[in-house]
Amino acid sequence: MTEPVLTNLTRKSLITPKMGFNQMRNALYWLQRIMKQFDLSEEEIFHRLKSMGANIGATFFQELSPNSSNLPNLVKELYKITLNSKVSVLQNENKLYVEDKNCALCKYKYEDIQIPGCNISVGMIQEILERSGYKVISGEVIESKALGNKSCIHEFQIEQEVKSSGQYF
Amino acid sequence: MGNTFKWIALKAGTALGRHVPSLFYQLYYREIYRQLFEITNDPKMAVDLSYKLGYTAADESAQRQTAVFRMFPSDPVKVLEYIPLMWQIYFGTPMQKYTTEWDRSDPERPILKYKIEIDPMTFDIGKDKVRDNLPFDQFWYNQNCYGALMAGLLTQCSSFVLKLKGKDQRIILHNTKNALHGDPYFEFHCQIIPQEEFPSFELIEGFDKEHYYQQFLGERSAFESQADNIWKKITNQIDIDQLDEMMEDSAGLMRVPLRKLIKKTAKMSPFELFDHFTNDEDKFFQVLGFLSVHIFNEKGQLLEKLFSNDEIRRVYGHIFLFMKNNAAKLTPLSVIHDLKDYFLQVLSGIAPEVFIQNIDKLSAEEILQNYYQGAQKALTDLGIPFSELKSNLYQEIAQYGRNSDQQTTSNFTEQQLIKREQLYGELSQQMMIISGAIISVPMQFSLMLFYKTLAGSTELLTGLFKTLRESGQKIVDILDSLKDL
Repeated sequence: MTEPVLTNLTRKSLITPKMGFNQMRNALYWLQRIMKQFDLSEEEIFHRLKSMGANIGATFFQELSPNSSNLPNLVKELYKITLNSKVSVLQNENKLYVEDKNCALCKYKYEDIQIPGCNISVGMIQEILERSGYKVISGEVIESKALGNKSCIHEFQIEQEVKSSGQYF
Repeated sequence: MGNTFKWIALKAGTALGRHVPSLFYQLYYREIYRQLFEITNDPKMAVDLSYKLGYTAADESAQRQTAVFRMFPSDPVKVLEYIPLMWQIYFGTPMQKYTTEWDRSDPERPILKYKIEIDPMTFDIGKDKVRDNLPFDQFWYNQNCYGALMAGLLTQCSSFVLKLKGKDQRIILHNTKNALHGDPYFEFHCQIIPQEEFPSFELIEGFDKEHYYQQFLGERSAFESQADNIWKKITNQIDIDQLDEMMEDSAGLMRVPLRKLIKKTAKMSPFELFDHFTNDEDKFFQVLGFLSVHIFNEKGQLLEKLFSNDEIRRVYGHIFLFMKNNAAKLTPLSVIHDLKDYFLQVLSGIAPEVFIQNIDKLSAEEILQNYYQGAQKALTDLGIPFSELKSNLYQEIAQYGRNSDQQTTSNFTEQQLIKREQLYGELSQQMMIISGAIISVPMQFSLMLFYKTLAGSTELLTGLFKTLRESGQKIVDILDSLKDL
């Protein structure tokens, strides 16, 4: 049995090894319940999740060296490196639609939850794209498993003109 | 901890779980602390909430994957020894460079301390000066540092195992030392406590957990349900210790079912059973031979059915005596020694030391003869009339021939005589097949041991059973045809 052994105790060395995330995914929804106990509004919870993602993205960016030059491929690569997600990307003019069928942060629909966990993913990718030189006008969760949809779909609106191909990459 | 279970548990964890890069995990962990600290503005309360958060989040997962937890041992001390495996399942990398130390000053509440040099949650913390800005050294509450969330998570997992097994003890973990708290290493205090002292760790006051768990139980994917069913089937039959023992060496595959069989049938532990035979080991092999025939017969009462025909039971009686009287000639000594060594390995750990030593002193030939004596007794019970057998097989068949056609021999046509000769020829052929199959068993068994092909034992017995059944049926048919002539 080969085991990933950590010899170099750096953040970079943590990009390849993988950790079980089921419990930590659950933790995010319990965190939202704690926030509600502290009387935080849904709007505030939404911004906090985006902010968590932005902070993760900013630190992650320091360890990243992606290979893709074209934007859709870069987005696919970022989802893979940061979340271990295999996503499909649809480009429509200056908008990118990312579909993640196995989102790390959303799996179940909870009756008491309105803010999908993958707002963290959107916040993180948006932050990394901006630090990579792209001007991101907005990043939003369009659909989410946490809202009862079949997959999570994220939309990124980029300021620079993007040629439309209308196909998944 | 055996490698087999470790491998299976890690694979199960991988198959059932969603995994992310460890760096995402580390940064997400940091951000959860940031949120808890910002909304409470109190580092102590942030630690307290993070512990309960880890505990509650793990509880939700455990409710969905109970079958996997059933594989773990039920002994709390053993569960504590599996903490490194839980660490690896949840944190993706092996627990590295750690030492353990028991504190048994309170025998009712022993503590196992894990001192761990490598904690992935702290790698490069401080490098990102803008965001690694939490008051890490102030995160200290109720014996917990920054690893409180991990401690809460593992507290739930280890205690869930004991709860599933119906134990009245629980395990509670604390992250008592942490590099971010100024300590030289990461430390988990893992303490066994009575169930009644286990805190509730309620995160949200008055939360209806039962209703909560109901809402997602129906949302399991087909794969998850299938995987869960497989685990349930496995864990209903085997627990972790048995699995490890079965796979550690070739003897384990025999030892585990033997122990189960003895407990089930004799209503005593194997140790007690073997102790009855200590200093009377030859009797033990007689009993073994006796039981093996009866156990073989249990499979469809094949032997009983076969021996219901007088001629057939006599034929088998001769074959058996031939095997018994020529055991040493038919079976190479090396094979007998291999069998004896194998048997000693099987007994190791489940029989008294004196019993094993005495068996070691017995010669292989003595073991075989005792075994055959017991088997002969069982075959007599099943109808083989050993005391009435002719001196050899030829006389037996000749006698049968006389019995079947003594009044009609003179009436045989030439065609019938030719047919009778053919049937006798086929009869001899089937007997040769049976003898060959039985005689070749020790040789096949020896090869199986040599190559340690554990699956071979089932194949060998299935093959022997098939040969006996097919040839036995053919003998019945031939004898019926002889009668009809």
